[in-house]
Amino acid sequence: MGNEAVEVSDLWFRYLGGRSFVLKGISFSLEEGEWLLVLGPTGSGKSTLLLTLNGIIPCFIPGELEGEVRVFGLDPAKVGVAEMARVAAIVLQDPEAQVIAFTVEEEVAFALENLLVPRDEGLRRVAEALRAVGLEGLRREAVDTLSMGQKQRLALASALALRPRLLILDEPTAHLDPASALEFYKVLSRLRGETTVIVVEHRVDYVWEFVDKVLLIENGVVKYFGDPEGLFNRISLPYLLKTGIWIPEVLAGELVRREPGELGGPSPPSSPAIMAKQVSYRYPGGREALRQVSITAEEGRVTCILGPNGSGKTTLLKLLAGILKPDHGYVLIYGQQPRPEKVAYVMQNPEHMFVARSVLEDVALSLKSAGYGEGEARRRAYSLLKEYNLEEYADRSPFELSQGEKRLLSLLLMAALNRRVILMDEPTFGLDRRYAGIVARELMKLARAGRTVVVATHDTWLVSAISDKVVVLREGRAVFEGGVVEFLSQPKLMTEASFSPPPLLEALVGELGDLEKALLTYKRYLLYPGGEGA
Amino acid sequence: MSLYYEGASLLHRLTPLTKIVVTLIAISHMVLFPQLKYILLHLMAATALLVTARPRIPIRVWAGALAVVVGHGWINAVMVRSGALLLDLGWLKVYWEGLELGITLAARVMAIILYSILAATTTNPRDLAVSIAKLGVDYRYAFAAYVTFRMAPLVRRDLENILVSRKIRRIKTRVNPIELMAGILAPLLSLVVRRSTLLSISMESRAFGALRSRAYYWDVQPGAGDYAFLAAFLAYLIVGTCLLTY
Repeated sequence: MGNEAVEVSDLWFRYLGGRSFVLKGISFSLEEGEWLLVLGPTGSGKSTLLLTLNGIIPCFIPGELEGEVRVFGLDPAKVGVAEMARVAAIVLQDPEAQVIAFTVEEEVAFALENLLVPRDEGLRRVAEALRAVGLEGLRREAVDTLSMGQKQRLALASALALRPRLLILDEPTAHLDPASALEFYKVLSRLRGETTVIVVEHRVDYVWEFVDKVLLIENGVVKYFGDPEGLFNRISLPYLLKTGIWIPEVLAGELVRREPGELGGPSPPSSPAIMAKQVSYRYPGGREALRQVSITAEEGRVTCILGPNGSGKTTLLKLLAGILKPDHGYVLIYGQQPRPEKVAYVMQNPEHMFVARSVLEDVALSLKSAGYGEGEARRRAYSLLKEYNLEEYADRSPFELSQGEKRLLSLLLMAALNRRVILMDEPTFGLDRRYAGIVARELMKLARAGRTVVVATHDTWLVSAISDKVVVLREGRAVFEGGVVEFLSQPKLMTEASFSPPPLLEALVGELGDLEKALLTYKRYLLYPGGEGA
Repeated sequence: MSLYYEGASLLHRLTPLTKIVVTLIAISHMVLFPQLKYILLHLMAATALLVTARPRIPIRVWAGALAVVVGHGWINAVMVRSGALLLDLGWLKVYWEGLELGITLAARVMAIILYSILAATTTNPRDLAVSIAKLGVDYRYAFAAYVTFRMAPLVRRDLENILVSRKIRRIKTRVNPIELMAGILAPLLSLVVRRSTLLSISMESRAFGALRSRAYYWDVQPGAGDYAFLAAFLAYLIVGTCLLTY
């Protein structure tokens, strides 16, 4: 340490055609080997800041850039993105969009070939990087056959193979299961002291112990820059919660009210609304994604599907939605064959769901499908946007929203359809605490209103906060189906599901000595952090 | 669209350049010897290679190829307006000479399609890019085709997901071109632009274009097998042509 790695002074940026500056006078500096965690609510400018550090802004994404950025003495805007690759590697939010090659090893080798790294050394680095992210067994696999989580690991491996002096990570574990995410940071921690790391991460508990500095941005302005401990001395926890950022759960313990109270439990068990019996599915010309899976989901309840990356969660959701047809077995939704027109299905990529030119029009279209007339649909659309805090974007194109806002809008589009069955694929990834809370509460509300809600997720907090029932998939098989308390009482099963209980929940169990009480307390903290009633 | 699939057949083992050269030789031969009997030589060769390689060709590709072949042959057949009359429906007359021309041209198109399908299904786009770069073309341009192949399945998946989403939301896919443009093509275009930008960013942030040349860890060099295949193909055409001519 001792050498300056990154220096950002009075940085301002406005996107081409943008109404206001996204970054407003950002300044901070890092020494070589330091790790920086960038915190901030959705749309605060975190990703924009990262993109200025290797020249993507302004070389690829034009706009008005003022101020100064230096990365190991280089000005990224002048040096250019390709040249910056010699010192800085970046992993973007969307792993699928950054895949270049057809096979796993070709993908990792791509950058090394571009930098004329000798073949033997290059292939050694490829092997090391793949081992580090747990993909060594898939070296010769076609990239298209990987799950989203595996693609994200691949993106990380491609960055690690470059052995960069600065590693820029924009939500690198968003698509990873909890165990893989923990493992990832363990692997990455070996770079501490050697590689400077700047990371935007919503799962702050995984990275908190490794960071040297924290940068809190709110609405493009630096609210705090300094060591992690100082953050809570300078800014109060209730204020941090209000801004909507994720904070380490164990540090938030003091905000938790120990008396469990009431949150309004699920209705008594009813007959299954969704029934999958001995369902198997193999992708054409590909792997067998599901093998003889039998599950049920009840009306009025939230069922969470868990499992490691590539275990078949998304495939199962698509079968339940009737988008895919099982090779063997059958699925029944309220006693009938599943059809896409009969369910609400929130896809992993929200952009696939937008069809209209404006946010308001898109929501109104869903409402019209649900039977509302033109005028009423528009009126209701606006009030729904207000409910979801999206009203200021009513006239904007859905594609102009931030990742988190897009996800929220995709949920709103489906909720507006007013269907009895709601299926969701990773509904909270990429969302800040405020938006994630809105989604979680909305899902609970929908379930309590009698809908059947099925969610595939990696977010451990979401499982603990909203699920009435848990289904665990592993290697295409259902290995568990039961209540959330039963699931959380079985450490072996949680390991099989690549699930690690949220730290705060573990602490509460230790303190209260009762899982059910701890769970209720935890739910209250997550869903109603301000203390408002259920 | 990339039709490539992994395999270990004879054609998979050949370099892309060999397959391009073979296809060009075949087309030149069919231009020089346009009669049906010579074109049958190519149909036999392509069929034999098809059996060897066993490519996984989607039915829609076969259907498209068949439509082109039949359409091309039929149009050429009915364009001939003289000779011995074969069929007279009043509004439509088909002559023996027309039928012969139609079949010959359809066979030629079929042979070219088969050779092209064989090359496309057995050639890794990356190897194609490397081969082109090895010919002295700037690797940045050579990889442009490769990236296009890379994007194709993603764009197809985007389109499928957009259509599924519309189905879930019961938004009708009307044939009105303006509605279609607004409802399907506009979001698809937006996704394609976003994907292209992200892919370019991803490539450049991994040093693509930083240096004038790049390394190739999986080099594509013609070997003895390529030369042997080329020689065998040429010998087949020469012997076949001689036997059919003399």
